[in-house]
Amino acid sequence: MEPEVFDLRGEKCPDTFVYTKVKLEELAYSGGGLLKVIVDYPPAAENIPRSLKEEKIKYEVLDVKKVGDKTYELLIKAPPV
Amino acid sequence: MMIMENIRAHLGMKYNLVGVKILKEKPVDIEKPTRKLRYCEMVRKAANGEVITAEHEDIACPNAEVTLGFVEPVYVDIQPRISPAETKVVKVGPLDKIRDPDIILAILNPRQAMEVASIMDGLEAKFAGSMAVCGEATAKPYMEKKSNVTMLCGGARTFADFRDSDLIVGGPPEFFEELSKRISALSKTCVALCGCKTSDLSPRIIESFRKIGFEKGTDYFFGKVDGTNVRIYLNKDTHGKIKYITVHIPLRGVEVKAKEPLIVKKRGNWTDVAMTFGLGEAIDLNTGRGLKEAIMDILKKVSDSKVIAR
Repeated sequence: MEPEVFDLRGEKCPDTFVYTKVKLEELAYSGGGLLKVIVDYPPAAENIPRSLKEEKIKYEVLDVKKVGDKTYELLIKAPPV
Repeated sequence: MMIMENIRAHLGMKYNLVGVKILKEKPVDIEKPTRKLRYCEMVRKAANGEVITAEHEDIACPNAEVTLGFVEPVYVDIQPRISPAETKVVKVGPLDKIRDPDIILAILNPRQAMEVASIMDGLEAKFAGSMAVCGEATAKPYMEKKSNVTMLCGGARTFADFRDSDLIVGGPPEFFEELSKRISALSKTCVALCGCKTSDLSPRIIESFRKIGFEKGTDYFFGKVDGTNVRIYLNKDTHGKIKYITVHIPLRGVEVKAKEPLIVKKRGNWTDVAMTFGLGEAIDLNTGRGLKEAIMDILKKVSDSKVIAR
């Protein structure tokens, strides 16, 4: 399954997490799927996975990859709800 | 704590100074918050008088978990942060309710920060508008043992109700102790060394100074004692009443190592040595009683101090 790409470059926390959470909920309530989140604010690559652990929906962080100087890609699986 | 009263009064601060204690062991009895809080929220509440003790599970912000040293980062090395991550409990509260704080935070407006910078001969500021209260104001000063200024972050302004005009100066206790000390010295010397005009003094007071060989200047009396130039400033309170006097000795081309109650301040090639005396039984300006003795007292203290030629 190809992940949906969600480009959050230019955003900082807490917005990076808030937007990711909203997007993941959309995915979860429409049958589930994969989301590739792109951020260029490095702390977001640390705090998005950490914050998702607190969510009721059991999201799964499959990969966190550095793809540029400050750019990271997070691959997250949203289960169907 | 005198530090808090002194700094708050001088700067006209609305909020308490906040003491922060980073504990690596969990105390036996701690009163936990009723809900998860962001660290910046905790600081805001502490500035308004609350004492809050939080463990890792009480912290609502994932950044603060890392910056305050509760956990090591997994994917990205977040900086600034308390490292190694051995924090078990963070306690915040008004400074007078936190014993031996590791860090002190002052919520200021730009005018107050400017005054702190002026008093401390400058303030260093490194901020990026993120992880501000936890990282820039707390973790960075904790790790580097020096002060920092932060303009806060989106999280603090969104969730912790900081105002547009708020910024934070964070630093180790030594920084705020020095600030308090300099404020005290200011109030005794700089405030004394200006204003307090002599033109409205009663002839009796002017005569008291004449009797010991002192002339009236615009805002001080001046004379020579044992070959040393001496100035005496009269310090009025806000109601215009003279409460104490400052005896001031300007010394040229020397460095003076003196202890309290002497106040020493460098001014270019000059070193100003000053000492304040309360008015009362020992010193009476109307009769001149005790004036000469006060001058001799400070001159003796100066001669007992270490005076080094430059």
